[in-house]
Amino acid sequence: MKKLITILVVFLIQFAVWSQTYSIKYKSFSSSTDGNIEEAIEKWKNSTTESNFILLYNNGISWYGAIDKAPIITEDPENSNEQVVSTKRVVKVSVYKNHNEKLLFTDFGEIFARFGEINPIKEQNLTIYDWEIKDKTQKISGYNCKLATLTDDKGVKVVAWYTDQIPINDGPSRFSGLPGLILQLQYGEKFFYTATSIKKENDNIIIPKPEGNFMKPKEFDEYMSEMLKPRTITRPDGTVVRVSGGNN
Amino acid sequence: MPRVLLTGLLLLTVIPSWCQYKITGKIINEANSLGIALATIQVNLVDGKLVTYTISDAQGEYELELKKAGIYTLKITHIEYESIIDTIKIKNISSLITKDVILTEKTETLGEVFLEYIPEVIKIQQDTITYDLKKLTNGTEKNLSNVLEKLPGVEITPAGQIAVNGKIVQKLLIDGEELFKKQHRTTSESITSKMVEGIRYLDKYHDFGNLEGFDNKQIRALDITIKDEYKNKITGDVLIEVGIARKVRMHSNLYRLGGKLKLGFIGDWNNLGKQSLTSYEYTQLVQTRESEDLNIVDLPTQQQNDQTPKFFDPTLDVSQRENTFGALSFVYRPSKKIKASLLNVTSNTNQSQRFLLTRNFFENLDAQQQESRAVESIFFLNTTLLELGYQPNKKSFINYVFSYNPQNSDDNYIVDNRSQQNTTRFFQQITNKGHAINQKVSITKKISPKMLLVWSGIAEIQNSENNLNIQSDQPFLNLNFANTFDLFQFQDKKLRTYGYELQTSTKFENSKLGLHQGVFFSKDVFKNTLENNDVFANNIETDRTDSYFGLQYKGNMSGKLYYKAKTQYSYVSFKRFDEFFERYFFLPSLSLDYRFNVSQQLGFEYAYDYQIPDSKTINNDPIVKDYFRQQLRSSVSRDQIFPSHSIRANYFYLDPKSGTNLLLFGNYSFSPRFLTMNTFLENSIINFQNITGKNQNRITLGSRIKYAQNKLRLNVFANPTWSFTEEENQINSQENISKTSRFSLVSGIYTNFRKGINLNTGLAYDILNYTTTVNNIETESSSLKPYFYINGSLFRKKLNWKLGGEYAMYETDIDRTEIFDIRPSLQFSVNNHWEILLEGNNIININSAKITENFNAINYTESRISDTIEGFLILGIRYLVK
Repeated sequence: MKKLITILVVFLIQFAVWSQTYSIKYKSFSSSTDGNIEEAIEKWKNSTTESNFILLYNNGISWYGAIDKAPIITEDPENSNEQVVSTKRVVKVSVYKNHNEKLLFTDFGEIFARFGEINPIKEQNLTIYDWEIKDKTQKISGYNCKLATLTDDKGVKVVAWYTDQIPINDGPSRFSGLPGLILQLQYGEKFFYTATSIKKENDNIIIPKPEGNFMKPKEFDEYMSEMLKPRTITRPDGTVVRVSGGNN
Repeated sequence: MPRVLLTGLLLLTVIPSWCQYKITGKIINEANSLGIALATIQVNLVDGKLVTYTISDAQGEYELELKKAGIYTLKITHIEYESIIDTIKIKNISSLITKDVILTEKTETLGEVFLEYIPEVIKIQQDTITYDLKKLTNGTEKNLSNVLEKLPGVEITPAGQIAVNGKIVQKLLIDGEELFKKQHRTTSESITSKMVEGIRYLDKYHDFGNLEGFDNKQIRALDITIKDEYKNKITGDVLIEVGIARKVRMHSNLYRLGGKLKLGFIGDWNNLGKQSLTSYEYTQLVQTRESEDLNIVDLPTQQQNDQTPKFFDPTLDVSQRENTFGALSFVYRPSKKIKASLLNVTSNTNQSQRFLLTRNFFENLDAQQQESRAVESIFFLNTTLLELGYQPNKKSFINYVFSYNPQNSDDNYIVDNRSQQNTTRFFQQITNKGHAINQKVSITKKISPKMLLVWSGIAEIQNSENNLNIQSDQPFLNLNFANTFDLFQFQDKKLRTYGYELQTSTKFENSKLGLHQGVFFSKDVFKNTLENNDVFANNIETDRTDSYFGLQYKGNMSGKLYYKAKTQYSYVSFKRFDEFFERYFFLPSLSLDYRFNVSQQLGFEYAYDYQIPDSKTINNDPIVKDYFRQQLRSSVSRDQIFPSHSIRANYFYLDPKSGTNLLLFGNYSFSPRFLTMNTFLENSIINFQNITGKNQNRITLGSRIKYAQNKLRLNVFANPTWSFTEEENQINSQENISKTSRFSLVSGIYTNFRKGINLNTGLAYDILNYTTTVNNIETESSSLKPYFYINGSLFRKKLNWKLGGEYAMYETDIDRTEIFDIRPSLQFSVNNHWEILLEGNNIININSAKITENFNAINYTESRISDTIEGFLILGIRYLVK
C-alpha cells in the first residue's frame, strides 16, 4: 500500500511538474502565396491579421501547425481549410517532434483525401541540424537573440534568430536543436516565420501523436511522386479533377 | 626532400585535431535527485561568445568537447528550472572533466508575452544572386539572351559564354538541367522570355554527383526557372521567314520540361548567314573532360581541322552562307540516384567567299601581287555526347561520358594570281575527314566523414586525314613537275591517349588538403607525303608518358580570404626518332580571393605550366600549305619544352540596389620560350618554319563599367579593353621583335522603360597596331561603329517595333570602307499563338555589299576587298507552341 501511494504521489508530482505546456504563436509567410516576403511583412505590420501558426511544447514533445488545425486549441478559423493541390501546392502541413525518442512526424493532412486517397504521415528520425552560431546578436522585444545558420541537404540556406532566455530547443516547422527558442526563421527565399507571442498554458495539455498512415521517407517519396503524376481523377462525388503535376 | 616536406605538412594540419578536452556530467533536479532531460548546456568564452553547446539526454547526462584549455563559463538552462551560470577551468593536463549541475524549479510563471517587433528579412543568399526581373526588364525582351543582357554583372561574351561578375558560368540550367551542354548562347536564344519565371546565379551550386559534406561537384551555375504553365507539355516556337533575293529562314525551338524526362530541340535552316554555334561552343562540344577535373597540365589535344573555326566566327568576308543546324537533347532523371543525358548536334554549312587582294611584301616592294580568289566550302560536323551518372547512396558516385565526333570539310579555291608580269591560275582543293571518340569514367567515394577519393580514367582516339590537291597552268612553289602542274599531298594525324588520375581530398575545419597522382600514355602520329615526291615525306611518331603527383591546399580565413595553393611534380618521358627524352617539372600555382562582402571581391592568381609541341610541329621535311606558302623543316629541337608564367588579377564591385557595377581585370603572361615562326620570301613564295621564339610577353587590361539609374531606368556602360603582345621571333632568319597592341571600347546608353519608347545608342571602336624591327613595319587598322536604335510597342504590346542602324567605318593604311546598315524590325502578335514578323539587316546594301580588311602576316600585308553577306529584308510567321 505504501509503495502504491509513493508511486502515485511521485507520478502525480511528475505529472504536476512535467505537464507544463507552452504555446508559441507564429506568423508564417511563403513566397508562393505571399509573393515578395518583404512586401508581405510590410502589409501584415499595418493590418490586424492574426498569426496563423502555433507551436505547442510540452516536456520534449511539440506540435507545429495551423492554428485552426491545432489538436487542442481551437480558434475561429480565419479561412476555410482550402488545400489547393496544384503545381503551387499550398498545403497546411503540421509537424510533430518527440525530442526524447528523436522522432519527427510530418502530417500532410487531408491533402489527398478529396481524391479518395490516404493521409500520408512521413515518419523519420528527428534531424540533428549542424547549426553554426554566429557572433551577431539582436534584441527582439526585450529578448537577447543570437543568429544561427545552416545549409540543409537541398543546399538551401536557413537563418534563425533564437533566444536562450526561453530555453525551449524547438522552433517552427521541422527546425529545432538550438540552445533556445527560435523566434524568427528564414528558409532561403521561400519561407519566413516570426514568433508573435509566447504563453504558458495553465491547463494540462497532452499533445497527441498524429494518426494516419505512417510511411518511412523512401516509401513516402514514392507515394508522393505517384500522387503528383499528371492524371485525371474522378472523385467519389462524381466531379472530375485534373492533377497537373507537382514541382520536381 | 619533397617527401619530408609533404609528411611534415600533413602532420601540422592533423596534430591540432588530436587534442580534445571533454566535459561530462549530469543535470540533476534538486527536488528528487533525478536527471533532467532536455536541459541545454552552453560553453561560452569569458566575453560571452558561444563556443559549443549540447542538450542533456533522457537520463540528464551530457558530454561536450573542447579544443583548447582555458577558462570558460558554463550556462545551464531549462524551461522549467532556474538557469545557472558557472565557471570552469580546463587545464592542459586534464583531458576529462566531470561537472554535475543541480537545478531548482522555477517559481515565477511566464504568463503570456506578446512580441512587439518588426521582423527583418535578411538577404541571406551569400552565394546566390536572385535577379528582380520585374525591375530589370520591360516586357519587350524576345528571348532569354535579351533578358540576360539586362542583368547587372551578367555578360554574354562574343565567344558565346555567359559571365557573371567577371566569372564564366560553368552550367546554364533550364528547369534544373543543362540541356545543350556548353552551348549557352544558342540555348539562351532558344528560350522565349515569356517562359522565364526567375533567374538566379548560384556561385556554389552542388551538381548531381556532389557528395554530402564535400564540394567535389561544386560549380558556378545560372539557374533559369521556367513557369509552370510551360512544363509537362511541348512548348516553343516554329518560325518561317522569306524575303527579297530568295532569302529564307526556318527555325524551331521545342522543349518539353518538367517531369523526369526533359527534351530540347533546336533546328535551323537559313541562307542569311546566321550561324548557330560560336567557335567556343564548337570546341566545347568535342570535349569530354572539364579542365578543372584533372590536374594534368598539358595532355595532347588535336585540333581536328585547323580551318573549322572560320565557319563559326562572325565573318565579314563571306558572300553567301547556307546553314543547316539541328540539336537534340534529352535528360532523363527517373530518380535522385540516376541521370542519363544524350546530346546530338549536327551542323552543315555551305559558304562562298570572293576576294580581291593586293599583297605587298616588306622585303621586296616590287614583288607586289594581285589576286582574285573564289572559295566554295562545305563543312559538316556531328557530335553525339552521352553521359550517365549513378549515385547509389550518399557515399559514392559513378559517372561515364562518351562522345563521338565525325566531321569533314571541303574547300575549293579558284585563284587568279598576278605578280610582276605573270598571271597564274590555280585550282586548289583541301579536304579533311576525321573523327574523335572520347571516353571518361570517374568514380567518387566518400571513405570517411572527412575524406573523399576520386578515380578518373580516360581513353581518347582522334584520327584525321587532310588532303590537298593543287592544279595550275604553270609551275608553282619551286617544285619540279613532270608534265602537268598537279600536286597531291596526303596528311594523316592519329592521336591515342589513355590514362588515369587518383585524387583524395581531406576536410579540416576551414581548409581542405588534396593529393593527386596520375599516369597518362599518349601516342601522336603525323604523316605527310607528296605524290611522286620523296622530299615531302614526314613520318613522325611521339610516344609519351606523363606521370605526376601533387598536392593542393585550399581554405578560407574568417570567411573573407579564400586561398588555394597547389604544387605538382611531373615526370615526362617521350620518344621520338628513336631518341628518348625525359623532363622533370615543378609546377606551383596560387590563387587568392578576398571577399569584402557578397558584392565586392578582389582576386589574384599565379600559375606556372608547360607545353610539349606535338609531332606536326617538329616536321623534319617540308609541308605544302597552299599554292603560295610552304612550311619548311622545323628548327624546334626535338626535346623542346615551352614553359609559361601567368598572373591574373580582378576586382569586382556591385551595388545591389541599383545594379551599378565595376569590373577591373588584368592578365599577364610570360613565356621565355614559345612556338612561333620564321618567315621569309623566296620568289614570291612564302616559306615559314616553326621556330622557338623567345620572351613572349602578353598583357591584357580591361574594365566593364555600368552605371544604372533606377528612377530614370537608364543604364550607361563603357567596356574598354587594351591588350599588348611583345615577342621575339624571326623574319627572313633575322632576329625580330614584334609588337601588337589593340585597344577596343564599347560604350553606350540604353533605357528600360516599361511604357513608351526606349533608346539604345553607343559606339564600338577598335584599333590595332602592329610593328616589327626587321623591315621596320608599322601598320594600323581601325573600325568605328556608332549605332542607334529606338524601340517601342503599341496596342498594349501587341505590336513591337524597332528601328535603327549602324554606321561602320573600317580603315586600314591603304583603304577605307563605310557601310551604312539599317535594321528595322516589327513583331505583331495576332493572338496567343501566332505572330507576324518583319526583319531587316543592312537593307541599304541588299545586293552587292563589299568590305575592306587588312590582313597582316609577318612578311607581307594584304589589303582585301571582299564580298560581304548581303543584307536581307524578310517577312515571316511564328507559331508559339503552347
